[in-house]
Amino acid sequence: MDERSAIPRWKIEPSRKVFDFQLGEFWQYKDLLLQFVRRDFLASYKQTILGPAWLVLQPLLTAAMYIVIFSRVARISTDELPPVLFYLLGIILWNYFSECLAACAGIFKDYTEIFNKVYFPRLIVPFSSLFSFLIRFGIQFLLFMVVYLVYLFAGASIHITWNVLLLPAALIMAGMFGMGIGLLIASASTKYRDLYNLVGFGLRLYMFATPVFYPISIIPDEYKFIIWLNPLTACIETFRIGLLGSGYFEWSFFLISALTVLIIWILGVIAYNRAEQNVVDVI
Amino acid sequence: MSDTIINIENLHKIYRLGNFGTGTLKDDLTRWWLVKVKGQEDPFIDLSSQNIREQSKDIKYVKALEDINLSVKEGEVLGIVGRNGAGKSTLLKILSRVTLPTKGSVSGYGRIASLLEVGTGFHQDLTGRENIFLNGHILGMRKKEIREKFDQIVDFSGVHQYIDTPVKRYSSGMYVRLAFAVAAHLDPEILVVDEVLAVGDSEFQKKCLGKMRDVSKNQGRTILFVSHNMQAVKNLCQRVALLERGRLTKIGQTDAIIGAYLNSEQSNRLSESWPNIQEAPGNDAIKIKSLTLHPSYVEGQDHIDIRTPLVFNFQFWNQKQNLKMCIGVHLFSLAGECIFDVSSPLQTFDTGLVEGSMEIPGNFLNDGSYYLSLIFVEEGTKELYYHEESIFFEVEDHRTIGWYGKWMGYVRPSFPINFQVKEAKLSL
Repeated sequence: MDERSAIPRWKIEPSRKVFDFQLGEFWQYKDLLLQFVRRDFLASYKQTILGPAWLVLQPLLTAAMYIVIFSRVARISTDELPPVLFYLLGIILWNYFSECLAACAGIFKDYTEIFNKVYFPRLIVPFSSLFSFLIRFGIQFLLFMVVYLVYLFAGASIHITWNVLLLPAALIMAGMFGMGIGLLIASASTKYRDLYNLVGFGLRLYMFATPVFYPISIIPDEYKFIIWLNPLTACIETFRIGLLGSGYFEWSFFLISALTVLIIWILGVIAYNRAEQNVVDVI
Repeated sequence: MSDTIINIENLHKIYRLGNFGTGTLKDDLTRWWLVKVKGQEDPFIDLSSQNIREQSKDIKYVKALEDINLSVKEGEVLGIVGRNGAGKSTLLKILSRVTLPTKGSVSGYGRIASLLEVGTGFHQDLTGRENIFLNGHILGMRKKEIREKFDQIVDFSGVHQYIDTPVKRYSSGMYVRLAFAVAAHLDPEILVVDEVLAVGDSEFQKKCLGKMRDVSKNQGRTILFVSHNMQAVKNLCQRVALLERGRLTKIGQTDAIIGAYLNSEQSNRLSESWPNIQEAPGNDAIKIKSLTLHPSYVEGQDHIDIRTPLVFNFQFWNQKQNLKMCIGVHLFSLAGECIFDVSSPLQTFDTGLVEGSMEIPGNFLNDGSYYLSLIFVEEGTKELYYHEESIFFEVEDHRTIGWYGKWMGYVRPSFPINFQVKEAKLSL
C-alpha cells in the first residue's frame, strides 16, 4: 500500500533553513507578484474623485507647503537651487523610501487573513510593495521632470552632472533600505506588537535626520557625522547632485552607504523569512 | 493499484497557549540553549502526556495533532471527520502549507490547492473580473491558465452580469459562488477543502459537490474533504479518517467510520464548563463559563426522547461595559442543517456573569442527533463571538402508533388534527 513509485516532489517539514528563500517557487509565483502590484494600484484609486491624480498632487502640494514654511518663513537655504525642484526631489524620494518601509513593516498586520488561509511564497509580498512604490515613484518622477524641464528652459542655475549615472543605484538603495528596515520591524513585531505603532512616529523623526527639506551645507561641521551615518542621505544627495548640480557626493560615502543598505536588507529578508514560518501560530 | 500521492509521517503540531508577552524571551532562550547548543530534545514538547486539553494551569502547550500517519492515494476522495478541536483544520493547514508542523513530515507530489475558506484574498474594491485574476494567482494559477478558464469560471459562478462590479456589492451567495468557481477550476493534483459547503444555497451546494465528484472521478484528482455535513461526506468520499483529540483514531470505509463517529460517546454531551475566566473560550468581550442542557425526564426515563422538554442554560462573563447585544441559540442537525435560530431581544448588559436559559418544549424535535451553538451579536448586527457546536444530544423516538418507518422531518410537533363530520351519510 505504501509503495511510492513517484519521487516526492515536495516535503513539508518543521522548519526551513536560514538561507532557504524558496527562490524557485518565488519565480513560479511571479504572476502573483504582478497581480499584487496591479491590485495595490487599482484599489487605492477606486472611489476617489481624482484617482491617480493624487499621485501628482500630493508631492506638489507638499512642495508648496515646504516653500512657504521652510523657504519663506524659516528661510532655510536650498543651496541656490530653485526651491520647487529642491523640495520636489526630496519629497518624492522620501515618499518612496517611507512608503516601502511602512508597507513592509505592516505586512503581518495587513496580510494575516491571507497568510492564515493560503500558501504562497511570502517574500512575494514585500517585493510587490517595492515594485508598487517604484511605479508610483516613476510617475512622480515624471512630474518632477516636467517641472525640471520648465526650469531648465527658463534658464535656472541647474545642470546635470555625471552622477546622474548613479541614480538607478541610489533609487534601488532607497527602496532596499526601506524594505530592509520594514522587514526587520515586521519580524520583530510578531513578538512585540507595539513596534508597529512606532513606525509612523519613527519615520517622522527620521525625516528630520535626512536632508529632505534642507541641504547638507547648512549643517555645522561638528554634526555632519550624524548625517553621514544615514544611508538615505547618500541617495538623496546623489539625486540632487546628479540632476540639479549641487549636492554632496563622495565615493567612500556612497559605497559605505550602499554596503550598509545591503547588509540591512539581507538581515531584513532573513528575519522575515524566519518570522513568516511561525507567524500564523502567533498572531 | 494507484500510487500514494500524500504521505504523512509521524506528524505533530503543538500550539502554545496563553499570553505570549510574558516569559517568552526566557522560554526562547532556554529552548535555544537546550536544543541548539546542548543538543537535547526540545523540553517544551512533552510527548508523553495524553490529554491535550487538560484543564490545568501548568499546561502551556496544546497538542493539536499527535502522531498522525496517513497515506492518501491518487484519485482518492478522503473525508476527514471529527469534532471541533479534533485537529482537522490544523491538519489541512499543514497540508496547505499555511502553518508548519512541529515534528514529522508530509511528502507528496503535485500541486495542492486549498480551499480553507473561499474568497481568500478577494479585494472588496476590485471587480469580480479583477478578483478572479487576483484570487487565481494567490491560489497558484498562471495568467495563461486563468485566461483560458475565465469563461468557465464566470459561467460556473453565474455572476455574469456583475463581473465588472466591485465584489463588495455582491450578495454573500454570489461572493461564495465566484470564489468557489475560481478554486474549482484550479486543476490541482490535490484539492484540500474545508467546510466550504457551509455557505451558499442548496442549489449551489449540489453544484459544488457535483464539481468535486467530477474532479475526482473524471480527472483523477485527489481530494481531502473536511465537513460536518455527513451527507456530503457520504456522497463524496470513499474513505474517511476520524480524528479525535488530535489523534487519528479510525480510518476506513465511509459508512463504517461515520457510523462510529455518530455513535461515539461524544455524540451526547449535555454540558460543558470552564473553571475560570482565563481558560474559558471566548474573546475580549465574551467568555463562556458553562453550557448545560437539562432534560426534564418523566418518571423512569433516562434518555431524551421526542416528548422530553429540554432547558438550555448558559452562563457567560461579559467583559464589556454597557454591551448592547442579543444572544442567539442555533440548533443544528448533525448533518449541519440549521433547525432554528432563536434570538433574544436587544438588551444592554453590564460587565459580570450572566446566566440565560431557553426552553425547547417536548413534542417539538423529531428523533435525531442535534447540536447547539451560541452566538453573541453586538447591536444586533456585529458578530461578537460564535461558540460553535457546544452541546450534542440525541433525541430518541417514541411513538404510540404501530408504524416503524422513519418519521419525516426535523420537527415533530403534536399539533392536534381536528375532525368534524360534515355529512353523516354519503348520498351517492
